[in-house]
Amino acid sequence: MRIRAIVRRIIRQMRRDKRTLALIFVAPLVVMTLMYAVFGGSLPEPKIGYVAEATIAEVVEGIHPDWIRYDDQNRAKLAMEDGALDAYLQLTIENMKPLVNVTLEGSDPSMSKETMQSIQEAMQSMVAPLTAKLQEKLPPSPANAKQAAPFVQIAQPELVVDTLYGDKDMSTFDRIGPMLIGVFVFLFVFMISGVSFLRERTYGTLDRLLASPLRRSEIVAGYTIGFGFFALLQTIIITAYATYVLHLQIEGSFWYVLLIALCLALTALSLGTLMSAFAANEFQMFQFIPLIIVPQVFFCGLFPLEAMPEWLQWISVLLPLTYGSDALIDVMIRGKGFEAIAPSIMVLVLFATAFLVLNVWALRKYRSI
Amino acid sequence: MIDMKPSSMNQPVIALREVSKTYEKHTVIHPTSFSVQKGDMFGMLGPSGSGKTTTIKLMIGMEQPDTGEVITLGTKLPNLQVFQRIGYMAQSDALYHELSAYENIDFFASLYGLKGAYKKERIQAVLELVNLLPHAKKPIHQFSGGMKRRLSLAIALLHEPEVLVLDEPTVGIDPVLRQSIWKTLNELKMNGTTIVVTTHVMDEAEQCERIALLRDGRLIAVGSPDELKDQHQAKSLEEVFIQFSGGARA
Repeated sequence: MRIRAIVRRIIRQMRRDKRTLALIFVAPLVVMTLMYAVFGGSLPEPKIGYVAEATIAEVVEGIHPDWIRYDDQNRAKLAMEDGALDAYLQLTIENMKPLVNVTLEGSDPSMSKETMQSIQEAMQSMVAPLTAKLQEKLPPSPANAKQAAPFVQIAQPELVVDTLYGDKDMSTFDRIGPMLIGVFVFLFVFMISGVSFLRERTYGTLDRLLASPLRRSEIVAGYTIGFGFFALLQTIIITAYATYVLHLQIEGSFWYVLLIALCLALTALSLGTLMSAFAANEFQMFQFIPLIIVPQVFFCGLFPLEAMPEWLQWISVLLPLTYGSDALIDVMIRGKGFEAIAPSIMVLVLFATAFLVLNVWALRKYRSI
Repeated sequence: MIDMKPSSMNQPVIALREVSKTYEKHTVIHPTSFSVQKGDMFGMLGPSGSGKTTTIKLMIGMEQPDTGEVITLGTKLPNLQVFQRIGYMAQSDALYHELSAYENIDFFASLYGLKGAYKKERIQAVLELVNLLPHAKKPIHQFSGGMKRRLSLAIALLHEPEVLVLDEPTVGIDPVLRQSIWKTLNELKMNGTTIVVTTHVMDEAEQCERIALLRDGRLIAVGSPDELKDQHQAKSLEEVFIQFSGGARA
């Protein structure tokens, strides 16, 4: 069969092109690992300073000997400005309620989160020793002792902090992981298929194919299956690597993740070959990255959409990656099943079908039948 | 040496009737009519940019004329089935550089529906014909320009086409190789293959039975080399050509 001949040829060609193979299989893993290292790996222990009176300071010292005590807020602030601190606290006790004023360095959201987590844990474990401490410090007075049995009652510490967001138990990587899978699958499949099809035109082989009894639809089908094969491999590798090596959390089924990623890959594949019709050379193909890929990355949910003006939000409806990453988030974070992702899958399939039909149509430019 | 004009029982293999082609308001082929007879070695001579490649693409149905019609092998073009009966060698070597010669030829053989033992046999035969059998395993990126041309020719011959259409088969090829290609073409012609070949080399045109002279998208003359020379009292085709160009540039 002629389509099979094209598929086999593409697979052979790709096997010879070791660099391209490395690009589609290894590059996403490298970038994912970098992302993991930046957003997901254990961050360095936050450096925290505090200002407190001696009694409290003794307790803090007991829990966190690594925290640095400052005489006053100004010194702590100066230390932070020098980059020596990620946060400093002012600890006071009012009416048996510890009051904690947290000042975060705040330039790095993931570090801020890590710091807040550390502070909160410390405050929790502070309650008991602080109670004991105050108890023993209090002058024994029989009159008072009769009034209340647990004489000193320290309330839960109250934290006053400016900005705080996100769920505490999820790393940033877990949150952006699903979108990263979508973005990588889309980007690499788009580029590889686009450039390959472009070469077919610039090397004159497309012309040669069109001088054979091949149908235009057979060419598109051959390309889709041939590159679909590599897209499938790439998708499996990226997803498996993110899940099993980088321990990206997947609440739902791994197979649904694969299914969504494959639909995204097919969309990227058909869009890539279609766009290559509008590029005269490889360089022009790469110019599509800021034009077609970057907007999709912006709108796929990596950045909060709610902050954007409404008319801008509407653009995201037109972008395939939006549906892919929606579905991936549903499965990987929310643990949803097929019913939840079915509409997104449908939309992706429609996108891919439309692009494929347009591909067959675009080849009319080269041969009318 | 001139074959008499083919007898009337011979239908033309390729017939262009008032065919013209325009790209974005620029007319590349002005209304042109001519035909190629069965078993002909038909040459198309003209400087680059004269419309040879476009005419060839019109002849096999890769391009559709804006006016007029093309009838090839008794079928009005474009028609997919006709491609199966035509061997085409493009001006640029349309080969996949990552693949070996054998893999390239195997791919095209499959496109033309060759299968199994017959496919293997044909691949061997055409590779042998163009003297590439010892290099079959080599990847194309190690091939010289001449080797690529020969492989392209081999691919065009794979499916034993009735009509062979070659766009500048010998451009950039050394004289020895050029001679061997023409020898191959003459052998094919003996076996009854109709051959259309473009060239801008005059002595190649001399080897054709009939030639069409093209200039600026216009057909300026058709006939056998000797006819053309006699008509214009010229010693060579080059002179004929210059006469048509007004001779002003001489």
